[in-house]
Amino acid sequence: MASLITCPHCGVRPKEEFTIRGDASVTRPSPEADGEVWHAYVHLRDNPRGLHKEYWHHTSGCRRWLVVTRDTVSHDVIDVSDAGALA
Amino acid sequence: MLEVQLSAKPALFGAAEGLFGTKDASTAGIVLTASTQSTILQVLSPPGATGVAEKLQAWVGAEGAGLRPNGPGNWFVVCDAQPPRESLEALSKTLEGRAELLDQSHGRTRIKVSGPKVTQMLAKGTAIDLREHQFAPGQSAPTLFGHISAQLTRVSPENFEILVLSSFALSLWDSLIVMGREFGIQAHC
Amino acid sequence: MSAYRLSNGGLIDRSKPIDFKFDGKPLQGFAGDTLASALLANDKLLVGRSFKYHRPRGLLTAGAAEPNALVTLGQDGRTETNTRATMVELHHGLEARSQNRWPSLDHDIGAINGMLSPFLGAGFYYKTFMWPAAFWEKLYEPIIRKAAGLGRASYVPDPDTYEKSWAHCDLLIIGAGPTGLAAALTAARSKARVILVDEGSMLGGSLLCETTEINDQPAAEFAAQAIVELSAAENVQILKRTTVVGAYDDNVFGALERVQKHVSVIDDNKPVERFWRISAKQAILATGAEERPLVFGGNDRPGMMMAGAMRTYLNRFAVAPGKQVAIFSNGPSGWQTARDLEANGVDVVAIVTPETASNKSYQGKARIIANAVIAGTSGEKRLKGLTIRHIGSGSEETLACDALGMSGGWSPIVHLACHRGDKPKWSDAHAAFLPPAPRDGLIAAGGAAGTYSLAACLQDGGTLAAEALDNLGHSVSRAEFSTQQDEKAEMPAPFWYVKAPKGKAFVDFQNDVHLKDLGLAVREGYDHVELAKRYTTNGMATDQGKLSNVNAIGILAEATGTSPDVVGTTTFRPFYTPVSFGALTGSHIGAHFHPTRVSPLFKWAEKHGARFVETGLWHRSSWFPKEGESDWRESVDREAKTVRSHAGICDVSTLGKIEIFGSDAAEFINRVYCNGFLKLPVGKARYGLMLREDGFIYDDGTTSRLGENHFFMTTTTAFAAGVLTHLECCSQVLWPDLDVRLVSVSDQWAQMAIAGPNARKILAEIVDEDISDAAFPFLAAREVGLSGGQIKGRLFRISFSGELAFELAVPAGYGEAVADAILSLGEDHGITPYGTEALNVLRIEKGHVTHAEINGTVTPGDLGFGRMVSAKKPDFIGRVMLQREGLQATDRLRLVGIRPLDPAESFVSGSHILDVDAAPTGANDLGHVTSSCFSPHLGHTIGLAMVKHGPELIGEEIVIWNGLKQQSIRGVLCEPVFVDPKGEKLHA
Repeated sequence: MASLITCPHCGVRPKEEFTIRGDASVTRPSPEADGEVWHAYVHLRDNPRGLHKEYWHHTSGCRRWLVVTRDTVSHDVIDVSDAGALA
Repeated sequence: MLEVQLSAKPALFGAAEGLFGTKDASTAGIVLTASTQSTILQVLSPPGATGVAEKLQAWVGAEGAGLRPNGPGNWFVVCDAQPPRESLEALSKTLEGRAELLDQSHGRTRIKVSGPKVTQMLAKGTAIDLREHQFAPGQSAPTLFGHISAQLTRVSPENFEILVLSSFALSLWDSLIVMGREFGIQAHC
Repeated sequence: MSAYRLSNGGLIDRSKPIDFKFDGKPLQGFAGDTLASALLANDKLLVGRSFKYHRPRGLLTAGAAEPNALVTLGQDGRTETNTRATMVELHHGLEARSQNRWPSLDHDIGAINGMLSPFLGAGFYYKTFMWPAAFWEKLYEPIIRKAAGLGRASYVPDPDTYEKSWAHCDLLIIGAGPTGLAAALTAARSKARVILVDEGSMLGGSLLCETTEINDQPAAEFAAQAIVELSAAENVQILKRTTVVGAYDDNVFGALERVQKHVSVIDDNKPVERFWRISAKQAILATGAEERPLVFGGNDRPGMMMAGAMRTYLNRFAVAPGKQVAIFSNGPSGWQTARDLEANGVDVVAIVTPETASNKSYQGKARIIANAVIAGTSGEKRLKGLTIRHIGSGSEETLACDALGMSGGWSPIVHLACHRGDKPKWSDAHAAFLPPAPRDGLIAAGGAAGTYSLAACLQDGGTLAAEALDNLGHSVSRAEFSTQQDEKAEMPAPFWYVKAPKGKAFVDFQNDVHLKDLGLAVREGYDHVELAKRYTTNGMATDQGKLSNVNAIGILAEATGTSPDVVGTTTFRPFYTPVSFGALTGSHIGAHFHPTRVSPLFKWAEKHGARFVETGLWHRSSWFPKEGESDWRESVDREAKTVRSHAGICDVSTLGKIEIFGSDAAEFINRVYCNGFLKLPVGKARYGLMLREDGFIYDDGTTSRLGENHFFMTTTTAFAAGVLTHLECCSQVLWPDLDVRLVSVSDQWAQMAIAGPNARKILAEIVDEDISDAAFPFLAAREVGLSGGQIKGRLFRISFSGELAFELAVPAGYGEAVADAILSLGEDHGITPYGTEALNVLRIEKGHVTHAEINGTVTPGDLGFGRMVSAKKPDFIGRVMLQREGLQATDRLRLVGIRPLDPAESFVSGSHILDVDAAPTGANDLGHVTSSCFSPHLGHTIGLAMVKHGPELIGEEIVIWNGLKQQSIRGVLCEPVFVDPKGEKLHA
């Protein structure tokens, strides 16, 4: 876990300002997708060793949802970007 | 129909006032003031909208108001007093189709914190680096202050403004007094 | 008498005597003393009893690693246990008490453990208290717990305050010894922002304790001058009495500042401790090195201490440790100590060293006994003599002495460099573990990096500071230093322990772990360093093995025939030294434990006598007792009845309120609720049910359409923040293509429910517009003027009580005025203020659900809302997963009403539903009561329950079982609407 996150909108902030939602590599299936696909989306998550993408919400800041790419071993944060692709 | 006179009470009505940590106002390292007559507007624009910031900047410049960026496509406009109606209408008109304008005068409370010890005191609440070249006068940022989310603005080197959800205003006010006591703090609202 | 105060020298102020007490006895020291140095100056060699064997113990160190001299300071709420006497600044009125002894330090009954010691070896507890298993919890553990532990904490609340603060810098320098000061002087001459932290009350570290010279000045004077320069530099912040206790990701450091732990009278306006979080771009670890004890028989008697500590007491505090001092040293430290002792007129009786040759630079009078070790010692409460064994011949001789300085070499203090998981590396050349490779700009310098000579430390500090600043783009001018010829700090091979010791050879003084314990651990298979630690307790408790770990590793390495490199270290974790709970809590205690949210109608309710209940951060008005009402139920019954017969007003401002804009706002809302919203007309409100993606209900509320592209959503109080975050996720992450913007306006509006048959009559007096049923029908939602257009509000015809009801929202500041106006306008119509308790009664009577029912395991169908779920919408959150077989099963727990068969009986929420004939066990559970209350309208208890096949069992008799109280009553399942089932009142 990182101590500091560089929010693309607000700059360097402590992790306390954020809420973590988890795996950002999953994509919401189409409503027509079958039950198994939905089951995987809702319930199944990897717990990777190494690089991991997560949704972080800057709750006490700009209230934007961000995608944080970090290393679960070294705790290095590789990238932080806006989840809605806002620059 | 009965005649009823409706008057407003600010969220900080009845908050603690006076000197704390000092008996002499001239030695107070911190002055805490509630800005209760403010008009506070929130502006929301779609991500793609252009020119909103510029239009807001022009309006606050002319009106002597303040602009507090709150996130992408999101600003607070703060005015010390109620701006003239025509001016507000003009603002509303220039933003039409670009952004929504929302009155948050009652939803947010504006607290001014100033004094020679102000950055030392605010560092007890926020992780923002308050050194002047990092957070210069005019800069504004939403942040976590203690356990409360708030919008922090540096008005001038030793003058800051905290914009906070009104339901948290009393709690924040009390915390600020606790944080300021060691420097001597004068509070009035 | 053996230890005594020297008549001159040292950094104490003899003109300022300080009175203090130790175990009730009045003593005197001087300004500049620590509690430890003052005790030693008073010849108090015995300062504590050891943890397990209750052996008499004296000062071992002069610093943070002290394992023996743990004392309790202060009284009542200011009681502070396990305080290291070496770290306490002496101040007037200081009262210290020794620990772990009874009845007194001199006569300690527990010392009998020493005689039992053959039975108390490592693993004793594990082996002895295993059977019978049932005895562990009831007998063994309470007894062991009572006997164990060091100081006793107080139960009286701490009257002092604590706080936290952030700090930011370009360069953090941890430690202000020679290396740290050299780094700071170089850094001060740049424009960079520097924070220099030191745990001591004076900066200088070892410079305050040594007799060397820098720039032709005594070291302590050089340090003082450096401090003057650093204090004057605007870009340098000095934090004294501050210990960096943790190193965290991204170069954030935790540091504990003892703001008022050294004062006699505490200033209430200041915290006693402050916990800093320091965010640094670069950091220099200049924490120095820890001297290693030697492991030999009887190495723990009062009067023995580290050779370096002896120099500190001598040079800094002007205290001679004894009159006849012996030295046992592997490496140069002991020789320097002998020199310093002799310079102060103290007799050094012998220097014993396992090295084969004498130290060439020593020219003193002491007898030098090389190629020898100390096999044993004598003396009880103070050291009396040594048994010296010559390594070659094995012959032994005894020697009288009253103090012993020992040195087994140095261990760099690498803790902070290892807190992020990196391991230190063993170096044979340094005979020590060196810090891991630099990471993220945290680099060790000087003693912490295994550099021991003064000149090299000064050089290293300056060089690394210059490099760090260069990395940050600052230009620097180096501070230069000249020193005396430095003794070449060559380390001999480590000497781990004396073989065949006479008596216990302690490795870990604090935990009473001795050589044999480690041997036993190896023999019993616990030779891995982490296992040996747990098996023997070596390296545990408050000192975490600062003195003992490296020796233990060396001993394990020898016992297993490997090297320290292979054995490795245990894991370094924060905190480096103990941190008080007060400092970690900061100012967030008592009323400030978490923020309090104040409803705009809080003061209004308070004025009308409300009692409040904490719900989350809110304090909500829960009932409004009238004079003469002695019981809360009396008030609640009256409020609920008055609402149904006349009218009531209730604060609902705490509901979450979200303003939603955008050309796709309707589509967005349609996707986040399971029922349809696309066709909601402007000026209308609709109840909405929000599901999670897994198909269960998340929250509910009403959403009103105020304009074509403008909606106003309310959420429950409890989930206000969660729903906003969820909607932000939906709009930003799931559907960024939708044109929608949302923002919380919860605090902008004071919102009140006005309910009851007279509600319209009352409101009509203050609302400017026509609110007749025709003009303002059920579910109307519009902006209205109040009191002749004085202000604008929003009026909604929605009802939680089942009565003719409205919710009125006005700008928050006007809440009190409007609520008061409504109360006075309604006086003739019998209006009453009502609180959340009556609100709860009213909603249960109508079968309206709250989060008592919506607990994350229920589906719309479970609550009878199955038909609300849109079958036409192509997509909404939860649509697909709601169709899962398990969520559509007919035997799910479903909502029903419940009442007692005998109206005189009552039941509570949480009670279980059983078949009439079933035994009262969890296995026979058919469901449970989710909400219950006394219904003043029906005159008996009613409830809502989630029951298997519930709706199909309506009319059936069941048992309501309270398993906690072992009570069962007969009940009947019924429709979950107890009052006005046709909703006539609602639509009046």
